[in-house]
Amino acid sequence: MQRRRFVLGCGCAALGGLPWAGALAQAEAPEWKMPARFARPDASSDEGSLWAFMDREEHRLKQSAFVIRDKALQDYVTGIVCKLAGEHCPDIRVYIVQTPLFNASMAPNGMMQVWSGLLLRMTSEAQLAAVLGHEIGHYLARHSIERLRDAKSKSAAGQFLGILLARAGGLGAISQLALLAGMLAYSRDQEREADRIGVELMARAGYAPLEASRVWEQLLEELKAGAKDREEYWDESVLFKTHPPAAERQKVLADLAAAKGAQGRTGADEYRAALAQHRSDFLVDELKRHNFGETRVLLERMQKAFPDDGELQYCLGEAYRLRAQDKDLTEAIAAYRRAELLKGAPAEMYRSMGLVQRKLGDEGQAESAFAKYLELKPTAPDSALIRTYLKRTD
Amino acid sequence: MKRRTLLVALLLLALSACTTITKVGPGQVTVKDMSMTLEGPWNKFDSSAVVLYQAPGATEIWTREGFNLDVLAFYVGIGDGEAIGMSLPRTQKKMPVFRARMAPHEIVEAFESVVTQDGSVFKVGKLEPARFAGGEGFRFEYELRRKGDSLLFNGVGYCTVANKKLYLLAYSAPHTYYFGKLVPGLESAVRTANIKR
Repeated sequence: MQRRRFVLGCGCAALGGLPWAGALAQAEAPEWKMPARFARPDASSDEGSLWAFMDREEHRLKQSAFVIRDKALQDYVTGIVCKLAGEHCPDIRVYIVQTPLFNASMAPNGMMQVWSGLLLRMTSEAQLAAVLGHEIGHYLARHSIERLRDAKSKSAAGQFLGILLARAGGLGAISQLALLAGMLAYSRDQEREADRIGVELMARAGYAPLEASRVWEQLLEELKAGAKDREEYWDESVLFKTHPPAAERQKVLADLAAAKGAQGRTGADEYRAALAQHRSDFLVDELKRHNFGETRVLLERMQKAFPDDGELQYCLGEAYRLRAQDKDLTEAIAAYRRAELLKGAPAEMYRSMGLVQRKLGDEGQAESAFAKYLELKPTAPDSALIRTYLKRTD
Repeated sequence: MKRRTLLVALLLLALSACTTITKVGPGQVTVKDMSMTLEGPWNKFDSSAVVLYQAPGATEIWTREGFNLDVLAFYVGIGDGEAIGMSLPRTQKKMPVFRARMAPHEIVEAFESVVTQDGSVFKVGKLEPARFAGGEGFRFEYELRRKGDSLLFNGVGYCTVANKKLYLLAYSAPHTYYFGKLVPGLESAVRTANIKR
């Protein structure tokens, strides 16, 4: 899948890009004051053009079938945003988008996007609040307009921006947006400021600020595992070219959390309940990324939180089956067997088990697995084909 | 001329320079070593530079109403150990490799991973045994939600493995109006497909 920064203000959240959090400010920075609500800028101003551009993008997004229209989940995420953003709450509109990557973004007109891959990866309400708080930080500090003015001051970029914002019809909406996002990527200082505001907002809303550093740790673990699995060279200094090293970052985060008081709620149970209805769909989307390294680390982390969850064991088996290297097929069977002893694995697990057993040459086990699948789902849309598998194993 | 207009004009020129559309049929046509007899004409998309997200790396791509609407993708004559499809430009995603012993479910999963590289969402429906191109094969139905404009497509695929090679045809058109209108023409063409075994 092509990864693109969806919207201005998406700092750098997509997996594979730099994570959302940039360098953090020192804990002793002066107290931050929340600005008053923003009025809509004059349409003829540069900021007005930027808002108009984003309004058009939001109009398109509203009609997209990729927006998850579940009022309960929408209300839950919006509720977190409102706890963080205070009086700015009425100006922020949340869109939950079905895209299995770690990302959230905030546009200057108040359009916030939260991708399903982020929701799957967070383990608590406080972790989600850490990411959303960072994005709200960019919004409150009006970083997009700073970047726009900075880019416009450079003549070549400025001319191009002028064309882009003036409703360029020749390029598709996605191309325009990707170009704009690329040209207006946040600076290191802006990332630092957004981090500081984000932690401040978390603390004010009563969330445990230390969860921000855990999000960072988790993301790094996934990125490293993904690179290793793809046999790509992992050089942390590349990731941190414009950001401080992980150790420094950890310290600053810890300092900030300590300064704010490490106490606060994580809201892990509420988070699980809010996501429960969508988790299976998000897991299916995650497996379809075919990114074994990142998916395995994610699933293992989730298994620590849900040790009796058969669906997670099934998904781990699927990750092994889909990669199908070396001993992956036997690992897949082992995971399916563990899932069998737990609750939550779908009937499709037996179909997968049959496919793997066939590859391993165990026709008897394959037949048993396919038969079990048909027993559990006799009218499955692939039942006629599964019956032909059974004939072949006779 | 305004700069924007100039940019668009240059872009179109670049596209037209490397993309050609030719008529195929009616009558007997061949795609690699597979033959078909067409009742009416189709349009074939030849491109050396533009990739159609619904059929990256297809052996051939045909349409009736236009490539933005209906697409018939041929992934045919792919040998054991060869990649199915190709990765989108600027991505280095590993493409699935065809194995002659792959189960139909695995072939459909491989096809899905090729046509969803842009973030489109694929959902397989009915998957059933079917004769195709003179031998045993299978037929599958699917839905594809296109990432770019979130338009919902219906799709149908036919597949067989002959001489240890993959022969897969997949046809998709918008769920609303076009699929129902166009799929009978596709089905009648598919019935004439043949491979020397």
